[in-house]
Amino acid sequence: MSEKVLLIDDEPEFLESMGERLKLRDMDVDSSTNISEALDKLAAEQFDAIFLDLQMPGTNGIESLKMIKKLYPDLQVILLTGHASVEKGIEAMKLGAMDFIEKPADINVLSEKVKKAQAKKMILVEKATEERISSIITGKSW
Amino acid sequence: MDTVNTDGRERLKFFGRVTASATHDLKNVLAIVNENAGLLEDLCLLAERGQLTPDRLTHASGRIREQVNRGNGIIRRLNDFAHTPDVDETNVDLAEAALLAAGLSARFAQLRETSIETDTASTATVRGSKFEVVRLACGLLEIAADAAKTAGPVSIRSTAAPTALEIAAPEGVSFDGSALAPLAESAGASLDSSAPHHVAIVFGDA
Repeated sequence: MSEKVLLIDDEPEFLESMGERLKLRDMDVDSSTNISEALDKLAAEQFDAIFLDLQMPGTNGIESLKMIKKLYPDLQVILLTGHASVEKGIEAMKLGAMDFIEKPADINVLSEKVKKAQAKKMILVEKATEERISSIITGKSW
Repeated sequence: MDTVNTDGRERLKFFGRVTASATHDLKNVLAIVNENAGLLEDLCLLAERGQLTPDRLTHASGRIREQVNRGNGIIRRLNDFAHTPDVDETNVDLAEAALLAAGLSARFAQLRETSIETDTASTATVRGSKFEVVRLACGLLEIAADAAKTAGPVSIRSTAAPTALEIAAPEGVSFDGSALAPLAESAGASLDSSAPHHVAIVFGDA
């Protein structure tokens, strides 16, 4: 099954070339140049992972991360940034980011992160399904 | 002594802000070059399998060339700016100062969802510190961009009569540059606001 990825970055040239490279690696890629468009896409479709730029016009990357994790706690968010300070990295991880990567990044590293994100998501989905089944079984008066 | 230290700190902070912004922009340029160089490698693998159309190569190499030009512009501006404190007093061309300030503040404006327009058809030369003139113009552009946000672009215009740099936000947006009046005074100028969306840095002696 191909991994589904959403790229969020305000540089269209970056989205175009990175998207093309991920597609060549058999991934299903969508992209947004702003956070409100990205939120619409997240509401409409399910993604295995998203790459989120930390500095976007009109928004703060950390605030966007908080908003996304509040709406979709199981979504795997990988932050991409031009300048990865240790403090920002720790803050992002505490807020539930899966990883924090500095640009320019190695495509093989990024592809590996997406595969891990998909595996993590599958485990979370399976766990949620098990909990639902367990709750149905224990809640039912046979 | 405290005033001297505070002034020095403020100048250093401004230098830091400009450098941080330019290097962040350069990282974006490098990220795009990196992705396109990688894409060319990927396309070479496709070529070996006979699955390549030449237009994809042309497109990727064109994007690299565009980013090299963009990166060159950022470095040229940063270098011009780095040389502004070389001499305390020099002939400052207001059109050049306006273009430099607009370029240095472009990313700040972009992050606030606005942009900066320049009009340097008319210009004059003033005697003073180019660093201080650029710092003052950048300061006012940042205040105007903060106020403007999505309302439209802000602008900077050099004028010969009066000898001035005019900074304007879109009509209907107001901004207050009075906090920068002491800086204007130390640059041998004064601030004049004829409308709520407009502030001019007026220089005394041409």
